[in-house]
Formats: sequence, structure tokens, C-alpha cells
Amino acid sequence: MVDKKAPGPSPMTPNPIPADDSAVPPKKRNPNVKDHIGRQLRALYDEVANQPVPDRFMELLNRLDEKSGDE
Amino acid sequence: MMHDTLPAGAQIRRDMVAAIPRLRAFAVSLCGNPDRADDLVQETLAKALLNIKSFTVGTNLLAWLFTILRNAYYSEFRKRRREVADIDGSLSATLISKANQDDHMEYLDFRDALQKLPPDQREALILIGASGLSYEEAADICKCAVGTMKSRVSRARSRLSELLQYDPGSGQSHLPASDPD
Repeated sequence: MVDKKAPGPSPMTPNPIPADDSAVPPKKRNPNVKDHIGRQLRALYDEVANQPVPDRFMELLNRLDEKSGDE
Repeated sequence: MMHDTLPAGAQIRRDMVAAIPRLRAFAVSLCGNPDRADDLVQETLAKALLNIKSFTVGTNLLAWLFTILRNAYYSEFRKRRREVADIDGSLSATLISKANQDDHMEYLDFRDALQKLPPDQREALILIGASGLSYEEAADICKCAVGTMKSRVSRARSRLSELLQYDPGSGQSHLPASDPD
């Protein structure tokens, strides 16, 4: 859960702000909340969905397969 | 004449393996804890294989697995209700690095807010907004009407908006105190 694809600098900043650190708007005031929610949600979801399948699940499936094969 | 015991089983198994990443993602978003999420997935797979005969070949395996996972989550949820730990609190303490503190805080805030939603709204939002299911599929999984699903998603978004906009008037912030002064 540590790392994620950071949404990066938001392209949605309403007006072009000159390169001036002090002028960076607070991200949390993102006006398009629905879009923001969607991105965060997918970041959370995709982070896990893109991971390889842990061995424990493959082992589990193999074990259960053997068992049900006995029927 | 073809005897197809192997192909059907092999196909289901392949589909099941292919579904695991999305099951894990669904579980993490739903319960907010990676370890518990994997336990849920494990339980889901075990139950699925035990009950594989009740799965109708040709129907949506992912939806079927999501349904099982969801049921496992809710029965777990009822059992564990009393021991809801400060998972996000302890996690946020370990994970924050100064370099990406802002992004990271935002991310943790989001996870925190997501966990604050009522479970029915949370799962609706995840199914529709992240796992890419249709409203019909999601409604089928949650055993509710499509209209109910739509309204849950909409309420989830409104509630999250409230939680994430940090309305100063609300007084009770869910944010970790970053500035004790």
C-alpha cells in the first residue's frame, strides 16, 4: 500500500499560474470533486489490481483442486 | 462425442485465477486493510471451489465471486464490529515520508474517508467507480434494484465530497492533527 501512481500535478488548475511556488493552490480544494474521487478510488483499486497474484492463492487453488478431483 | 469435464473446469479455473487481482482490489477498497483483504479473498476462493457446482457456466464468474466475497465481508464485519482498530491511524504514521507528504496525506485522507461511508454506499462506489461493473451487474451482486444502486453511488460521492473538502464549519476534522498550535 506504500506507493501509488501519484495523480501528478493536476491539469485542472483553473487558471494558469506562473511558476511560483507560493502560488501553488492547495490540492485539497480541487473544485471537481467527482473527478477527484474517481481518480483516488481508481488509484486505490488499481494499485492492488495491478499486483501479481500472490503465491498463497495459487497454492490454495491447487490444493483445493486436488481435493475436489477426488470426487 | 466430446466429453468436456476437463475443459469446463479448466476454463473456470483460469477465469478464477484471472479474477484474483480484481477480487483483491475489491476487498482492499471494501475493508481498508490489505491483510484482511487477502484473507477475504482466500475465503472467497475456497468457498467458490466448494460451491462450484452452483455456478452456472457461461454466466459472469467475476460477479459470482464478488458476491461471495461481499457475503464473506459482511459476515466478518458483523463479527468484528466491536474491534474496529485504528488501522488508518497506525498505517498513516508509518507510511508518511516528507517527500510526498501532500500526495500521501491526500491518499490516506481518501482511504480514511472511504472507510467512513456506510458499507452499502462504499461498495456501490467501488463496484461502479473502480471495478468498472455496470449498474445492472452491481445491483445483481448487491441484490438491490438498479435505481437503488444509482442512488447509493450518488450518496457515496456526496458524502465523500463533504469529507474531503474539510468544511471548516464542521468543526470535527477527521484529519490527523498536523499543526498542534
